[in-house]
Amino acid sequence: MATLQLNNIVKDFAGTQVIKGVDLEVKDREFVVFVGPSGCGKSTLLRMIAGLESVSSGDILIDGQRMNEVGPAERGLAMVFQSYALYPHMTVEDNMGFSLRLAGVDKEQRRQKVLEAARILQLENLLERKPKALSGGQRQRVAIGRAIVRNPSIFLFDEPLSNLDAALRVQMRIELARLHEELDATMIYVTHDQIEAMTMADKIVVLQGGIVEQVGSPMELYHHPRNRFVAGFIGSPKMNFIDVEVRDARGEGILVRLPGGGESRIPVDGSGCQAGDIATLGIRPEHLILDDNGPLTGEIVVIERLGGVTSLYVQCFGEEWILVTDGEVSHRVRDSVRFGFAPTRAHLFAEDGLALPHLERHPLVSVERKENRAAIS
Amino acid sequence: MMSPALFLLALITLVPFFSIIWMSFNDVSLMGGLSMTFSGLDNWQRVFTDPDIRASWLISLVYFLSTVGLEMLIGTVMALLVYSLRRGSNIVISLLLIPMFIAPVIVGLLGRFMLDPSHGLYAWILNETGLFDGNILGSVGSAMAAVILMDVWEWTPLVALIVLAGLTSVPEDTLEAAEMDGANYRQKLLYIILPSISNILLVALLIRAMDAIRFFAIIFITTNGGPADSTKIIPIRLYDIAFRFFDLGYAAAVGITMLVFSILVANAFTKLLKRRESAS
Repeated sequence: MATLQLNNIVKDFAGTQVIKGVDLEVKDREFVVFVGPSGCGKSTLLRMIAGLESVSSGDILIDGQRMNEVGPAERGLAMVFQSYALYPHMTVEDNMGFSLRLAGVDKEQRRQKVLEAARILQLENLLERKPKALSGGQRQRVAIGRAIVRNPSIFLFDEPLSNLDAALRVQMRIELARLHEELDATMIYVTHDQIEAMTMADKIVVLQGGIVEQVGSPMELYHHPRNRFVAGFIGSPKMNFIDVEVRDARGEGILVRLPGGGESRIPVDGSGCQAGDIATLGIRPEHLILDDNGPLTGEIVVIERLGGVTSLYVQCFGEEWILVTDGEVSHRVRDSVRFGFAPTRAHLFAEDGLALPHLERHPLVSVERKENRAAIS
Repeated sequence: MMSPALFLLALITLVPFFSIIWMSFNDVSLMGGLSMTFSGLDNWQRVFTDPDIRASWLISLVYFLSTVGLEMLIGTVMALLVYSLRRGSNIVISLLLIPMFIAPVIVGLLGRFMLDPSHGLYAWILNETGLFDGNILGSVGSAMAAVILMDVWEWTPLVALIVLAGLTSVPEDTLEAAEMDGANYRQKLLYIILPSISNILLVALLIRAMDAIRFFAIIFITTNGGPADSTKIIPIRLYDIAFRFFDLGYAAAVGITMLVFSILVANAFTKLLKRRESAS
């Protein structure tokens, strides 16, 4: 049982605010991912929760208790570092049992707990080895094992997979998700990789410049981004943005004028808009459809074929659009294409960057992560 | 292409080396030009039976263990203190390193001046505080302590510098991981920092040990082995044999034993280092 609450957390480094008042609530057994570009403050925030970084102002509460002045070891947390931070001169067993040794747990009990963690992580055969003799993935598992042995109330992960190669990363991602199910623990995970965020999180916290841009489930962030930054950050390739003129904001949705003269009615709440306003239309590359009757037209400048899908970079009225289409399309560079989109899939952002709310919620937003994972354990 | 260089190298290292070995089997005289009379193992027999040599080796051992021990201990503590400084560590390091840049002869002269019973500052302070009354460099126990401390003063910064370099190579997040595991400073030092820098400590120890074996200048300037031979470490004894008594054949034998001893010590260290490296 562990909950975490951050109340107006601020971090000041010699006059520069890197965390600018973060409020957040992490529920018991939740898998929360902090995601954002480099320098957004996600690692700093995690280190503040861990107690490795002091809090300039605001409160950190774990299970309702204020922890600002409590040392890292007494917070009951365990952290897995990006570099694994294993003790190089100790064996795997000693690495994993170090916290228990410091706590004065006797040798037999210590071994019991280490073996238990080693079993969960399939490390039983490596207990006598030193970190130098392990592969990257094995080291990562030892680092996780060291955290498990402590039986923490909350697990903290600081970009734990970024030093692994792509194949191993996918494998470890699934293993971490399995571990979350098995341990049934609260986990906070920092990454800059949105795929990790989307696949593992119950709740994603998108940070930028020390500010929380949006907190929500992966599908909520994908289908209902709160602003232009989140819309651009979540999803790959990035969402297409284009300035459009509002023609009519009365009635159901907003009618906008598309480049090239076409019009489309986007089903969003237009109460704050009026005809003549400039808004930003956002459409994800995978939601653009090649359509001979589509309202948009342009010339293909680059084609990226990935096998299963193909990305087309299309020059359309001075703007470059990316379309993700079927892997089988036979278009060539400099071909002229027509394309369109379903208005329900489009997003509209006001001049201040905030998204205009969709009139209907996407049905997948309420699907919980656990429902995607029946087969894993 | 290499042969001229190799020839030069042979000339300046191998020729003297083999000449000294040859000298150790001869009675060497400088009277009326250099002359050598083959004396077999006479010199070598003396090396292993001469009570003066034995006494000098013992003094050397005391000197070696005290200087190197103190330098390692104080140097490590010094490095840990500098490492923990939040700011100004560069200035502190620069100041700490000053003794190292002073020639040992000058350190000896400085020591002699400071410890002079009539006008030396340290002698006066010790006298005023009642800790020591008398001629520091002229009394048996205190002379040894004085020359040891002079060496420690000069060479501790080198150890501190080497250890500091080692400390900066201990990854910050390993220490943070230990902190998360519940380690206090003492436990971090004992279980993480010192084991992590143990190889660097060994290197520092090796450098200082090699230096301490052949150490000469400070003692030569301050006590010249006295009083009553109480600081006559083996290099000073060697100097006496060679350049006071001009017994060059015997001096060669003593010199070779010093060389062999140095090689044995260095060998032991490198073996230890290699073993540790393959173990970790």
